[in-house]
Amino acid sequence: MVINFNCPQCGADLKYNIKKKLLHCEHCDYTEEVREKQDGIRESADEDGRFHCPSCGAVHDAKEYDMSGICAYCGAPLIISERMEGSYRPVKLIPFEYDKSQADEAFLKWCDKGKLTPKEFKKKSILNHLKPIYAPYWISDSVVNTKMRARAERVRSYIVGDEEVIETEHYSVYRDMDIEYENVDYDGALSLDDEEMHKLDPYSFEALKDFVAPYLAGFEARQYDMGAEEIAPLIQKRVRGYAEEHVRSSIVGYSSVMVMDSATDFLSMNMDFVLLPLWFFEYNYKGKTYNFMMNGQTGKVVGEPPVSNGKAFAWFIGIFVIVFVIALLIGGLLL
Amino acid sequence: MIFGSFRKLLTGLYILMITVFSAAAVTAASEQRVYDDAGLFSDSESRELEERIQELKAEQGIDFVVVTTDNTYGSSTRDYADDFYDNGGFGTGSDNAGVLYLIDMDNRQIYLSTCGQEPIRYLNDDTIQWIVGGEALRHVSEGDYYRSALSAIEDTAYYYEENKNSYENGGGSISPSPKGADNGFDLSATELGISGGIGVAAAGGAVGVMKANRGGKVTVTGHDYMKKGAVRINDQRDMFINRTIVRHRIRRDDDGGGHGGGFSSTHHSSGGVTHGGGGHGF
Repeated sequence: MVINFNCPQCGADLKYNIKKKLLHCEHCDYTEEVREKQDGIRESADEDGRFHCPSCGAVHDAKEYDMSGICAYCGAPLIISERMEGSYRPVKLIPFEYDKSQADEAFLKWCDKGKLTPKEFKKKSILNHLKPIYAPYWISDSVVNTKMRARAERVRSYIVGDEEVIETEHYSVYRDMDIEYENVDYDGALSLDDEEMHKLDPYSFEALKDFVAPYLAGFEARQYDMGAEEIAPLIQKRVRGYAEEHVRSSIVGYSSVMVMDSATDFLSMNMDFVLLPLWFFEYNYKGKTYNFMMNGQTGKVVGEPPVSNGKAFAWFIGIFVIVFVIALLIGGLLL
Repeated sequence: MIFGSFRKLLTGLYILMITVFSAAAVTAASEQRVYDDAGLFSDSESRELEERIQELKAEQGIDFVVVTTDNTYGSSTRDYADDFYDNGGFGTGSDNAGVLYLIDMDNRQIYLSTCGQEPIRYLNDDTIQWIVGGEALRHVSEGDYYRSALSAIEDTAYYYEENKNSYENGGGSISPSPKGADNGFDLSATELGISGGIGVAAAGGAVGVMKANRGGKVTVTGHDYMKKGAVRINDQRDMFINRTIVRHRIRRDDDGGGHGGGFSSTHHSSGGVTHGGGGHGF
């Protein structure tokens, strides 16, 4: 069943307004707080087993992982309530901070980076492909214990008479530390590349709100397809790396340190399914897929702009020539 | 009587002609500079060498002699070379200045002998070693005797000129460098290749980094996710094990004679003439 919310004043569709941070009616400017709604809910009639728009009745071809979207015919919000139940219900979400006009601006700037933007990207219509999406994430709090053993050296050298003396002190170093990590986030969508998504970090998790459906009015939200059990080891790998790096950095005062072995155990770990805001653009042009992603909270941009191999080539030649000439000159002087 | 005076005149003329021709012959004979006693050169090669030697004499005033032998009759290569030079009456000026290159097939040595103030000065020990150890040696080892002699002539001409300039312009000192050292802009294929390789690596690396960073970078570290103040040290031990000490004497750079040579060692030949020289086995 698909639902959306109607304005009590004029009956139009209510959407979440990013700047106002309220449910808002674009027709009569009515606003209300975002909270679990009990009334004003429109439901679709889905006798034929397919999803229909509650506002205009048109069929909605929802992809498997869609929790919410927008009606292709009338533009009304579509929230598929049965897709956010039980373990599929997000616990929290971070609302958008950057709205469409800001996203458009960042996108156009990104397009131009390459200076050799294909004409396609100069069309106004290209902006229709830039959409606000709530992406599925797992966030985790954990307490870890790391034990590390290392060999360290302190070297001193000085000159006495006509001798050089090198004194080396050898140490055995041991550390046992507990560290707490919180809100370590990892994206739960198979189709979104993990490393690319990681470039969007950090999010500011103070802005986390308890999840309620009205936040999704007017936005696409995606369900996770990688569950807690699959993501947990990936998060552990990152956290393990962080912990061991921290413990290693606590070994100071030596000329050299060699880690002999280290082990990290997870004393506790929990995971929550959350939705994080993302301005997302994906476009296929001449056989190549262009991806632009902007952190919907912080505005950080990720993605390779439509750039020229021509420019890359020019840079290559330029640097090559300069380095080549310098190498020749240095070689001539040395030899 | 008329016939008597005419005869005298004719005899006189005849004697004059013979003297002139003999003198010419003698002079011509004393102009020979290639003595191929071991038969290592073809006729045309000998002629080429003679020509080159005459050119050298005209251009730089160096009197150069090329000798080959397959029997030194018990003499050392050095003595053979020196004696040949002295007995041949070669050289210019009051000190018989000149250079002799000997290919000794008996002792299997090539040798360069110098005589006279300027040759001895400008062809010092290091220089002579570069000559006899360079192309001349390479060719003689390959059995190319003609080219060996030619190299000896060319290299001698080269170094003589270099060192002479160095001496005259450098205020009396000679700091020779081996032929073939890069003088800034000699571009060998290796140099080009290496520079090219470095260029490609640098450019490739730079463009690679540019491409990689174009799409954004990961900017978070563990620190960003660590709960503030939530680090507890359960155990921390830095245990001293032992101390090792290494001592070594600092080398002082004052032994070894000055390098970059300028030194010409000399000796006396059996005839009491001062010669410089050096050789190399092959």
